[in-house]
Amino acid sequence: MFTSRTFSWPSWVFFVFFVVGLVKGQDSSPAAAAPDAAHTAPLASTRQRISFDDFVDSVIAQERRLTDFMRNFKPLIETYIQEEGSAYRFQKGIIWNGDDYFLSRLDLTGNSPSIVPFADEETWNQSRLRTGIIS
Amino acid sequence: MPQGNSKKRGFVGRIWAEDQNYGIVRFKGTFISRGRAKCAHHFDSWRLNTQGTWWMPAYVSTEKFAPYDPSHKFWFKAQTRVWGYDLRNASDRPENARQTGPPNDLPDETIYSPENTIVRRLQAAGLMAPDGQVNRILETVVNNILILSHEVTSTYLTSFALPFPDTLIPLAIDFHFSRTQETDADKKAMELFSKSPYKDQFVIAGLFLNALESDSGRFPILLHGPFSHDFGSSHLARTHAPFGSIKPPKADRLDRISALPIGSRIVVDPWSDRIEMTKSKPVPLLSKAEKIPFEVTPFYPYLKRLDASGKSTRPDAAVRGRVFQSRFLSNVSSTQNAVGSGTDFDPRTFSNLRRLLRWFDRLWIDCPAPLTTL
Repeated sequence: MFTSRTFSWPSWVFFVFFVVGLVKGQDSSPAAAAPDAAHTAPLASTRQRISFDDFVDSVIAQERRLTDFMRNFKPLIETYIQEEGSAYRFQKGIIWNGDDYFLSRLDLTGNSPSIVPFADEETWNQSRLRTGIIS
Repeated sequence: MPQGNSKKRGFVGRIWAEDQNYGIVRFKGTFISRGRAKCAHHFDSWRLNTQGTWWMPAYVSTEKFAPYDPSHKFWFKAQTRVWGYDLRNASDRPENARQTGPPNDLPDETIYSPENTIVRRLQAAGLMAPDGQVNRILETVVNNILILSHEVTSTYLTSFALPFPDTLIPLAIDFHFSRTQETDADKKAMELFSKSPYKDQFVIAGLFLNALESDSGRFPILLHGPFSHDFGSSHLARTHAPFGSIKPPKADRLDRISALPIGSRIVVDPWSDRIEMTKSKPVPLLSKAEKIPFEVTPFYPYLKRLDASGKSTRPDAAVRGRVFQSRFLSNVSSTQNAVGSGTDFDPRTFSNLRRLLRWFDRLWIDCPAPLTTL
């Protein structure tokens, strides 16, 4: 339905938002736990009265555990953007600003998250030009 | 959690955490820096209880208002979805699914058709949903129909030297057909539709196609298929033709909705990749302004914990699901079931069933009424 595009600034922005949520406050080393360890994750006990400070500390601790846990995965991430309004384009007249679509694999397994975009025709042709396959 | 120079920049907003294990389930706000506050993006990020006690990122909706426009009009709005956490088990045949890898390395290759290989390859890459509820509904739609015999095998096998990485799949698997094949498929689709139980719903289908046509210039990428031809080009025009003679209902009627916002019908499990229909009842509209066909809307998933056995009890709420995967990939997956057993899939039935399904699917997912009474 969509066509993907090269990973550009808007997608990078969303990627940053996504990663910020994971990496914020994180300074631990990569986790060695396998995904199956999720079932046995040692976490805080069930409902009990705690102070706000303890609550915040618990949230931060759980977030760090999640950050480590997420290092086991390479999920897919897609962003679909709709721009509002229209603008004048040279030799084309007034046209809609349109939309855009990005599809990538998010690699969280290293020390810093990275993305590998799925190729589209545009990026593929560019890469072939760079490598000299197309002269 | 203020740190360092956080007086100059930082997250401003709200964070929601669940009260058992203190996992963050949502954060909404903006990331600002002094002097550039007007350029801040507003984001609303949701997490779902996907595995054990973990709440993992699943949806992010983003909005940006025009910075110097006093009317506060949108500059852009976006949806970001994350899925495919458990790709090792994402296939209908988990023992064959892997994160990456060439299809020719898969075991039992000789008993599978090339189309089955494609299906498994796409599932292993997270680009295709495993068999599930949505497939069964689509299966009902296409039950007992005849299909033309267009093949995609040759294109698939000759385009690339195997193996190739997942990221090249959109280029390697090419479902483009010739103009003749497209014409034949369109004729067949209309013939089947005219004999189907949905033939009395031409008016609503016509409304949907009108909306599709009118918005094709506004959202060109939405209507452009990465694996196949555009909806906005020849296919759309031809399927729209039979509806031309039908007088459309007045557009200002609140009960006549031409198309829903993106992803209103399908929800994706970010862990298992399975897709399901949303079960929530549609909210009656109060104003014409609430009709926003094909537009991006914020996510509002119904958050639920996994039950004790780890079985997911969600989703049953108005999550704006992912369209890309459901629309294209459930079509392909459904073809496998529509012709019988998965292992004896007949490649001759593949392409046109896919095309027909795509057409139905398009109606079914974003069109509010026609095909929901199966």
